[in-house]
Amino acid sequence: MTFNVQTLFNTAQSYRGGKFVWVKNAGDSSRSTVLNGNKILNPYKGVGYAYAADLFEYKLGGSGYLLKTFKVAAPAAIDATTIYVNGDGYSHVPEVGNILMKAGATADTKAQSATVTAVTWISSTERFAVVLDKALGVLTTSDILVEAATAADITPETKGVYTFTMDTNAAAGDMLSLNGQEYVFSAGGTGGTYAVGLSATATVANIKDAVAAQYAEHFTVVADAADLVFTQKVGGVGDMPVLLVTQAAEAGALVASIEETEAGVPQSGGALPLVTNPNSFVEVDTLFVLPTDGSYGIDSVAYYINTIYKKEAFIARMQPLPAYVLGKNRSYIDGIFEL
Amino acid sequence: MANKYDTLGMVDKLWKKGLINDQGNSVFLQTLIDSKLEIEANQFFWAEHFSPDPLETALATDPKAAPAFTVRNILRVPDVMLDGHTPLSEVSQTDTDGFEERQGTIPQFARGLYETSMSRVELKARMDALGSDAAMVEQYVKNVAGIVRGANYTLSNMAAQALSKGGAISVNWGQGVSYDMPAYIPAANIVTAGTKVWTASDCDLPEQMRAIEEDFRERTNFKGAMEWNIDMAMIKSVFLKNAKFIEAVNNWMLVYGEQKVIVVNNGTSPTSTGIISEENLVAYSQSSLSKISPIRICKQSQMVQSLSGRTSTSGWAANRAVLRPAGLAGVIKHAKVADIFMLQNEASNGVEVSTASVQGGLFYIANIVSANGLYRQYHSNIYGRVRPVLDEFVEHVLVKTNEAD
Repeated sequence: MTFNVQTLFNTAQSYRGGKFVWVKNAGDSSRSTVLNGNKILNPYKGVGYAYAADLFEYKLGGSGYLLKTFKVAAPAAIDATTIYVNGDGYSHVPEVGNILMKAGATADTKAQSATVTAVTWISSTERFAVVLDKALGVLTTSDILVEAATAADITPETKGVYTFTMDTNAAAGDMLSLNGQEYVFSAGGTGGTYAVGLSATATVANIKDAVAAQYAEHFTVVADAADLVFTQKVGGVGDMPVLLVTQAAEAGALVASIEETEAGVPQSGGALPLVTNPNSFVEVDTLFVLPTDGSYGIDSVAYYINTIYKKEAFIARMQPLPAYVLGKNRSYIDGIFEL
Repeated sequence: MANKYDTLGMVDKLWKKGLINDQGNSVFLQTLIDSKLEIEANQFFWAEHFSPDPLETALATDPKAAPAFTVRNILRVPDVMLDGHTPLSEVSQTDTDGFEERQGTIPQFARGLYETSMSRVELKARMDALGSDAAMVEQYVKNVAGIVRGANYTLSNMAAQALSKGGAISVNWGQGVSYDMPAYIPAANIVTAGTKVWTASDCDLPEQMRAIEEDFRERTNFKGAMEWNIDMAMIKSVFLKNAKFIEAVNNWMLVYGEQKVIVVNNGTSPTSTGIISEENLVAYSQSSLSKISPIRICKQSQMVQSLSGRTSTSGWAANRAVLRPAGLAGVIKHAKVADIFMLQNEASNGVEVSTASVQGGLFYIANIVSANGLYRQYHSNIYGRVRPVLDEFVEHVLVKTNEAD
């Protein structure tokens, strides 16, 4: 007991109510608990919540990851290092040191990741202002951020460009073959042939749609004067078309060539999500109260959790789920998430 | 042929009412365990060094408050001599003792047995075929007793770790979750081996141990009796081979040892033996000839089950010897188990649950019978929230025997 010091203080705390998230169904009695539970490998460093129906990647080995998702609250420019995420009291809390990335369409989609260097909660808009050590790229309010496994930069793809040039206009009876598909020219362009135009440009325009259809899988094809420009849809995917020119035996004129204008390079680097296979639910709202970063002289704090499966939750009531997580859903009913 | 026993009733009693006797009291399993449990060599290692805390730690909503333990140890300030004093002048004040406090959490452990109606019918058929051979029943009984033994092995492993790692316990075995609980003895109590590492052939081990003891007593003003805790492996590989110990033990034998009668000195044969036993060593260390506090040999080992198989392990840290106050090293802190609370209060209708505490409340057993499709399933689970805690941690000295000064 202290007699020699007087302490005055005020505190204010609001306790938020619970939010329904489970599908209430008295006819269903399924609830399965995982074996032994797991140690949480990515607990909150300070105070944080895991909400009911939050997803958790349970591993039989004894430790797993909590899926924390952050919904972008305001669009961000390509070079923005301060971004805003939802902080309405039911949202996950970003913390300094978190490595964030934009969740992709699949768990294998790599993206730029960045480390959080500062977090401020803005009460008026119920958002977190998150300062990152580098920009994540353009963000819209439909984007969802997740924790990344590593801090990694991404090198964007370079779409390869190949240019076909008709140096000399074709004459009737000339033929060119692109990867084995033959384009035969004739004066009228009938019977599966292509009309010879007044200039190479006009002739190229006549075959453009057919060539574009042939290469639709990997290339967009546009005509530019006497050129056809093949641009890769995905960097590094799609080889240079193979061209063979056959002039007509008499009065053949066609001269054409194809060359690489820009080499295609696939996207490289980037980070994968930390939680790739969320497979169980947190059952009830759970508060994390002790710091896990060793601050205040409290050390060796570890959190353990027993998660459940064979349950259903309303997607709209859950934390925002990225596409790759929604893809795991096995519910037959839209809007309900089932693991 | 009629059976001598009602086998189904027997199986039923074992599984469904395993904890309840004919009067409906939860003593059946208690007697089962008390009478059938085999006390194996090192199953109760923990009980050699720790006693169960008479108070069970309560479960509370605040995870920091409980189930957490607190142990306190007085920090002794040396008692100093009086000052010379002129009458009527002021008297100088003496420092007061402080105390050190350690808090930590108590981790939970569990394991279980599982049977279904189908396997139970199989068991009955086997018992019928064997004419209700009592050995079959024993087989089952052994299983329930086995998980209780497993609980004791868990405690023993943790007890050996707490002793040899300064309170630290690392649980990372089998397929459960891992726990890492840090050491809490004062850093000054983790000392090096002395001038030579203990395995050195020219290490004067009794003298080095004496020096460690004396340094500690001088530093802390601790006057009480102490003991050395040495792992069996180190006794065999280091102590029984140490030349100075062999010499000292021979000396003891000549004076006190029962073996002295067999030493015949005809003037040419040596008077000493090159081989000493554990018993000799311990007896020497307890004698008045010994330079050091008595040695207590620590012997324990356990089995770990994972999905890939079983392996043997030991809780004692390699290359560590312990010097500590004589007697018990601490208490087994234990807490209520949430699983038992939920089973007792919130179990579904149609789920039959009977629970009992074993070993004076250190562990809980739950027998659960629930639906398994058309039939039933039978679970016997043991739960325990236990942790051996050193309550003499201020005087607990850890020697790194493989690191010379």
